[in-house]
Amino acid sequence: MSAEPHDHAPVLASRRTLEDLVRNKKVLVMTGPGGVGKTSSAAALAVGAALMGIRTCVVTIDPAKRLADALGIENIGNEPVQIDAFGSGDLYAVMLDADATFDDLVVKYAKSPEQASKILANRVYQNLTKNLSGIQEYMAMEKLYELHNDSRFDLMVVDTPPSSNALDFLDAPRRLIGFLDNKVFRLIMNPGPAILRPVSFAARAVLRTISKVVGSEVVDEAVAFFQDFEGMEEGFRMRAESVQALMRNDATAFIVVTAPRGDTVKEAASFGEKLAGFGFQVAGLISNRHTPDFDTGTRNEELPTVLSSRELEVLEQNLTRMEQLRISESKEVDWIVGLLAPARLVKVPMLAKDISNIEDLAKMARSLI
Amino acid sequence: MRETIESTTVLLVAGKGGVGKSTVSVATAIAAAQLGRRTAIIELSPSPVVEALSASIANGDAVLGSSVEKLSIIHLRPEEVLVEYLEDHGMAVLGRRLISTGVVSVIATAIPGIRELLVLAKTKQMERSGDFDTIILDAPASGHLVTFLSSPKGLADIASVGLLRSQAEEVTALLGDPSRSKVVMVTLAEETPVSETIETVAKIAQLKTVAIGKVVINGLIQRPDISSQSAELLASLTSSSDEVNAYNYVSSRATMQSQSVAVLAHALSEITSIELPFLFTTALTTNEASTLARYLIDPSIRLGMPDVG
Repeated sequence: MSAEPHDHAPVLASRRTLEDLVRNKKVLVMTGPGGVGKTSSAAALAVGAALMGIRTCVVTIDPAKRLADALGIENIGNEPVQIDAFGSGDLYAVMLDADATFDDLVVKYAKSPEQASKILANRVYQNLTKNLSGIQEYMAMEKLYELHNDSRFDLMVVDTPPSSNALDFLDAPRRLIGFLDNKVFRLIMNPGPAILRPVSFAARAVLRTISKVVGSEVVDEAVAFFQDFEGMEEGFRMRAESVQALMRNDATAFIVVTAPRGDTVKEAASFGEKLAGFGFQVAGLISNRHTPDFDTGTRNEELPTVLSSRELEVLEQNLTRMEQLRISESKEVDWIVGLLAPARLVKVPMLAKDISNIEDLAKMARSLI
Repeated sequence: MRETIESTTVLLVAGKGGVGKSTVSVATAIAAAQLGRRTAIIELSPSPVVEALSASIANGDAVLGSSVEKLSIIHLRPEEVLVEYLEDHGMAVLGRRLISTGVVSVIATAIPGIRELLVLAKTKQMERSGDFDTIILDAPASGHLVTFLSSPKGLADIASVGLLRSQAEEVTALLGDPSRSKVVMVTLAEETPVSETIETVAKIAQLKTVAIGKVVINGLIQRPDISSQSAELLASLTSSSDEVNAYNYVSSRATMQSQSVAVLAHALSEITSIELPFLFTTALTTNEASTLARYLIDPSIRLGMPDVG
């Protein structure tokens, strides 16, 4: 399908696919609940774009083994690697390593190599990427920021890990900075003017209670973490602001991925609404795993002669049930189209088999683009 | 599933996102209540199907019958549990305020697994109280499950001096006793969830912290019931028809699913599994959960098939 934008007419021809997003945006971020085929959708979109001659890099996070095989990225790391997509040299992939990305940031903003290595060795720091919710997503955005000026690519497609909380990733930079700016620990290190001393005193009391519960080692290590991090918050804050600016850029669009089940659609809808509420551009909606439409009015006159009447009835009921399922799936998804307008919806039929090679991704791409 | 429910108090329901973990948790809770057991379901993050059950309990939904009196829903938020725990151990009111400014998140980060430990400690406390015959924990998605289950033992090492040590030991004892607790793994009959299930089960087996009670294979589509000769005849038809296309689609999905089931059965030969039917619906309400509950109690009933012949 080709989209020829005219000056005054809306581009109706492309309303049903994501083609113009792939053509006109520089960054596409795929978000949505777990188990809906987000990683496959990101990979398929990237393969489709590359086949259109757009130089594309897909940032994936923890792809299922089979998908990694399909992309041929089993052993790739935190840097983009060229993928052979039907001989076109336009596809790159990178598998996000959130810990390594964070380590790179620490090394970048530390004032000295000693400061960096002290932080990297601290237990609080080592557990930060696993425990602070949203940090994985935030590191995906960080990686994106790092790569978005790379002259090898025209388009970045970014997968995000499933979140239990839609706000996690939007909130992660703020939470990270809040964490680093922790008032209690600051007060203990630097009590400040006399008027604040009682608070500092109370803070020490809290830490004493915590020491009793978890042991003083842990508390000591937490204090050491904040001492080591001293002076780096500003660098992190500025970096986080630049990342946010990129996310709000006109050339960046979010695509919400869902599947046509009630709970999943609700989750996706609240995700999309929150994104829009934060001023991000939600431009697309992919709904995977739809039941195909079988009700075409095609009849086979032979059937009554080869099947018993009971079997004929079983087949008719099966057709009716599939049709009811298809309709209720559509109803589940259609209501959020109005909610997330002008984001367009693309329904992808249930795949006949799991994605296992690049042809499967190209096939999925055809229903997306 | 009946013997799993009746032989164990705490069931940790686990699985990857999107496989229907909360649905199976709710169905299992309803099944336990219908077996006359005082049942609690512990929910760690908001879930629509648990909320639907909550509404059904409040409204005395007829589908639950008399089992409604046996069902409780407990919402647990790990951060709150930690604050509560600290308060019980001498932290004053000002402490609570300081905690809300983030000390807890710093400490929780310093000790990975502390949130999980506290959830399990609270579960153990409920189990010891004797108020419940069945406690169902709707556990986090399986990526976190191994952390979740390995936390108490790891913690016993870390929290070697603090008050948490005794908690860690008691939770380890709870998990180590199959009459007190077991894991129920939920999966779909598809390649990715099946391979993740096999991986998770292997990791849990290696950790030896807890027994796997059952693997629940959710959403199995049933092949329309026609004779094999008729199926062959359909395959040989030259002109197409809507009924035949729909049949072929369901039939090929059923074939794919049974291949995944076979892979699972081969890899997990020591663990029994139970298959739940696909219900041809997009929204799971308490009604559907009750249907699945009946099936969990008695798998011989036929569900969701057209009632013909």
